[in-house]
Amino acid sequence: MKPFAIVFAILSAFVLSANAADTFKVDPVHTFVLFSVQHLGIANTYGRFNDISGTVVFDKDNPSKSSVELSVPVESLDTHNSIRERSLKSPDFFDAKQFPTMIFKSTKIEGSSDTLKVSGDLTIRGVTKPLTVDFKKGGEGKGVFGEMRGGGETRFTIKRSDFGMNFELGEVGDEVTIILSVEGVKK
Amino acid sequence: MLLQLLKQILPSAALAAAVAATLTFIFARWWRKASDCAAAIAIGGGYIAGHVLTAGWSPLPPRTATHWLFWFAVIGSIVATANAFIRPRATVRVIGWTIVCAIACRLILQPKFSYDWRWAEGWVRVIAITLGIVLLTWCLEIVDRGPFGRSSIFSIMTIVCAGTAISLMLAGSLLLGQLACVLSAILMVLFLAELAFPALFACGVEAIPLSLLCSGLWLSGHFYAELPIVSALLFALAPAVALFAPVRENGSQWRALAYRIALATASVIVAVAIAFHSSPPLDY
Repeated sequence: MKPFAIVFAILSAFVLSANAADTFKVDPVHTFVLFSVQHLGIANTYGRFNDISGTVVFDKDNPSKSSVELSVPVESLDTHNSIRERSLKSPDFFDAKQFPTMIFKSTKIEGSSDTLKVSGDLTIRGVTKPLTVDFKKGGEGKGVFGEMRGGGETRFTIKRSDFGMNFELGEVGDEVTIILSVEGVKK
Repeated sequence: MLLQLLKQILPSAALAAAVAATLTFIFARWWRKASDCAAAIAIGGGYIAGHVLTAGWSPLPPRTATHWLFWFAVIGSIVATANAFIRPRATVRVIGWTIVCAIACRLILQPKFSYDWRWAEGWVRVIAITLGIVLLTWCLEIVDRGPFGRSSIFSIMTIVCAGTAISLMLAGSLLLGQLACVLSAILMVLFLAELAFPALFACGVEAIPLSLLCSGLWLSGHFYAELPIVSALLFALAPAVALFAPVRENGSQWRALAYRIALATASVIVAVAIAFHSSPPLDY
């Protein structure tokens, strides 16, 4: 009986460790991608992307085994002004028809279960650059349909010129602050 | 707002015009052998200077359609120069130019093949657009050979490019609009040079870089910004429309030129009006 018990214990440990990593599907209704950029050095202009999809695999016990993959369609850009949106989606800035999606793929995640340092590759306008952000984990709880939910938020700054977005650098600021608030539904 | 826009456009347009004027005089006045391709080199060189000041250097291989416009200027000038010096037979010339246009068209439309079109659908469009560019080149060459040929082609295309610039800005792309302004400024300088020094240019090949660059701007404007298809077509048809102007054997050449400009301008005005109508209201 003893060898059987050992095998059973090892298998159980494997099953438990597999369960420790939860997979969350990004909920586009409760996930927000907001950005701000200086206009003429006077004040900030704000905008958002209304659509986002992706998956977050989160391992509570071993965050280094976690991963994030997010995709944002540029066409979902919304700045509360159709002329500005036309311009931002045109070849002058995001070039939405040539580069329809922005993608982030994590390469390394470390830190405690509350604050994670997420490193990965951010692709905008066909240019991929490494990016590291501090992701503050939010709470977990049940949604109205009894589904398990989890999420968190990060705020970081990128330079648009790093991604080949060089037009009107004097009029529109180079540094873009992005706030990403993610809520995912556990699969 | 208009003043701010002019401040942004003027430096690149002025640089392009200055470079075009310099190249024109180098090639047409001082190196007569190259006068056949002087205007083509001036268009290509001027555009490259204006493009670099507006959008920076373009990498090789280009990553975006706007980058391709820079290389279109280079390719157009090289093909035009080769045509002027080698003088191939008409059949070879047409086939060669069709192949160049098809490749250029396929390359600038690569993102549509990646995200939008199926292979066959994409190639049907590429073939149709290629034939359109070749026809445009042919039309420009007919205008070039007509009364006041060089003045006609430069004046008509100055107006077409100016209209294109306004429409591209209305279509959401100030960058593409600025590049069209660059081209318009170059053509204006060539027109003035031709008026000031008649017969400055020998029988030219400027239709080659001109048709490639203009087509590149219209394609980028329609497929990657919001330039309405009808506007793009009207701009492309303007040189052909100009050919309908009545030309009398013994009539005034100035009158013939005026008729051509008037017809092309009418086509451009309609194109701009359509672009204006389809642009969102300016909520300022």
